[in-house]
Amino acid sequence: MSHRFRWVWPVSIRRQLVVGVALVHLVLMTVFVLTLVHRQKTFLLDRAERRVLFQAELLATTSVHPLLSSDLAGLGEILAVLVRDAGDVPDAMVTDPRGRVVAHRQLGEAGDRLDDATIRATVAGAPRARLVARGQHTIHAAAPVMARGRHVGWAWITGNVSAERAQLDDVTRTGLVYTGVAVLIGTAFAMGLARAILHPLSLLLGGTEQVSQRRWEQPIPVTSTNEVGTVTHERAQFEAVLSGIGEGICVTDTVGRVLMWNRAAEQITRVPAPVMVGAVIPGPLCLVDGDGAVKDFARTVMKRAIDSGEAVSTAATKLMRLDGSVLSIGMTSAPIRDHAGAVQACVSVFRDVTRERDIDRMKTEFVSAVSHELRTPLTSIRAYAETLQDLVGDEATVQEFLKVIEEEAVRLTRLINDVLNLSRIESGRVRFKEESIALAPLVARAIQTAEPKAAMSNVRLATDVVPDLPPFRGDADGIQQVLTNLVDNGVKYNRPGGRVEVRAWLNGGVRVEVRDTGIGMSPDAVRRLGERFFRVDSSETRRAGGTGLGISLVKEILQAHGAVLEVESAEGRGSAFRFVLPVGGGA
Amino acid sequence: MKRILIADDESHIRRILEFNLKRAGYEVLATEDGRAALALALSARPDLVILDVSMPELTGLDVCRRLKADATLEATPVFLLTARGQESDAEAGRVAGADQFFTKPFSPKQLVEQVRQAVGEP
Ligand SMILES: Nc1ncnc2c1ncn2[C@@H]1O[C@H](COP(=O)(O)OP(=O)(O)O)[C@@H](O)[C@H]1O
Ligand SMILES: [Mg+2]
Repeated sequence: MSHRFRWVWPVSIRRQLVVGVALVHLVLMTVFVLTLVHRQKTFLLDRAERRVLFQAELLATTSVHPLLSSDLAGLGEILAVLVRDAGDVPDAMVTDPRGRVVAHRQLGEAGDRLDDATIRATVAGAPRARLVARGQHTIHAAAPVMARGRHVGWAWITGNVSAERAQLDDVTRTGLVYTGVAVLIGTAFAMGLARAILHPLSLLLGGTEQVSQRRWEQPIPVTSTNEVGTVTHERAQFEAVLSGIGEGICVTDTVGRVLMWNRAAEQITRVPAPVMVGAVIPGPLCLVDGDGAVKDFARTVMKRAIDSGEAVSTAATKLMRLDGSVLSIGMTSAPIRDHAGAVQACVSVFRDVTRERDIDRMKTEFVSAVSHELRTPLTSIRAYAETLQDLVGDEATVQEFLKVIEEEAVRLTRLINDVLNLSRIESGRVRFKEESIALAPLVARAIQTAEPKAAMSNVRLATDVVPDLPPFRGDADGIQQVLTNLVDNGVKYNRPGGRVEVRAWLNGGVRVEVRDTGIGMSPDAVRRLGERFFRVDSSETRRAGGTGLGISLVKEILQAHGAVLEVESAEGRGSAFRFVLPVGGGA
Repeated sequence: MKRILIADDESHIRRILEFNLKRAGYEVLATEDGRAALALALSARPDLVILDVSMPELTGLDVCRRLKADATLEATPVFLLTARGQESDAEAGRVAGADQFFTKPFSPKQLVEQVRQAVGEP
């Protein structure tokens, strides 16, 4: 229905049905009654005409004899019989062939007499019985009086049709009454029908409109067995699924107003749907993320999902219930788009991850405890090996072996440190700072750290950091680790005479590149880079020594900075590692 | 002769530190718990104190704090040894007033070098 008709044509299905059925009844009944009246009219008039014609012929036959014998009294007698009080024939007369009146009888003062013109016209025509005129309430007929083939006069009859007229009026009136009654009954029927169809539909509508508020213990009643019943059934199933899902579901509009809050959401938060629905997140919820209480929708993951137009996950939100218990909440929010692609709402799925977080924390604590326990014996091994080297003098083999013990102790220490770091970052226990940091000093430190090793293996180190590079936003320690690891790799997986260069410039952020002219990697190795403990297995890499955790650590740290490590490498020619750090406003 | 006080509950660590410092010419007092270290520090007046952070009874941090709170020992350098090497430990050490911070495993040679820089030749 076009918008132009909206104001005439009701919008609700109920009104449409009622108005529609009533209209159809009105039109059909009117046509029906009109047809009926018309037929009745034709029938009644036809009958009246034939009656009057018959009476005219009858008069013509009976007046032959009196007319021939000029028996005027007899003629008057015959007319008197015809023109009775009943009023069927208010006027009768007999004329000669030229229309001159021989005998005439009239009831009361019935008007509407035949005029002379009609009479003249009739007598001028052939001697044949026929209707000669019709009035409002009367019909006039004439029949020739024939005596043995000779035309001796005319018999005239005026018939009264007011009875038929009255009958017709009656039929018309009754028809109108019937039309009215039919329209009434039809409308009532339409209303009944509308109700029968719409009641389950309205239950369903009530149901879907208030999916969120409705008490979930009361499912939509599925009563109808017709199509609406089917729809209702599907709807009920859909809702049963929604409410049955073990994950909390929260749908909000773009300003954070809650549109839906399922049963699991109620159970997890202990806040019932009627309280949540309509409230703006966080509403009555007491949410805490890493940096403190969430008091504003703008600080939620949902808002981030709406703004970015992409699904966003978090596991770092805590929820405090009214009874004081604290839960860790894992949540994924995703924007809901309309058909035009505009974000119109946000659906969030969340669950209680307290147990997982606890286990995770225990795991981290365990790793931390283990690494702590490992350090103590390592400390002794290293300290004793080192001290022994001072004691044994020039005994070359003993020196060599003690050196191995010490080196391995150092390597084990690095392994422990890397495992510890990685597990802390993965468990989200390390909170990276967001500060404004100048890159150049970090690069200088990384180069400085690698210097001894580079000198030993005859690898040149170079830096090319543009002078007016703005500071990046992030964590100084984290990025220091990234640079140190990458430069260390560049030196380790290199060849005498090789070169490692750290470059940094501004291009969509602070773009950093650590490039070497070393042994490079196969495409497969590049793909596997970042797997825990992955190391390319070759004599060259084995000689270099390492844990296979460096790149994992680098990737985790960069990810926390919203950056990705790009790797480009050619076997035998060298590798380049690149990433872009965000440039931040404010300190 | 310069006197160094060592407190570590690990006997091997105590032994090797003692050995290295003595070899460098220092006089060494060693103890295995924090409470004893505090008592020794007050009675023996060492020139430098080396404390393991994790010890029973009184942690190295506690001992360090108390030494730094004592007017007569305030100026005595304190070295802390930790097995964790986390930022938070270093921070806690700084707050407690420690002068140096060594993460295990450390190099005894470097430690002796730092001692020499802090208190001078024996
Ligand atoms: N610049 C590089 N050139 C060649 N190979 C590299 C380079 N960086 C890393 N690799 C390869 O990737 C592996 C994993 O690196 P990493 O995670 O840093 O571990 P580690 O350096 O401790 O072995 C290395 O063992 C090496 O085989
Ligand atoms: Mg590495």
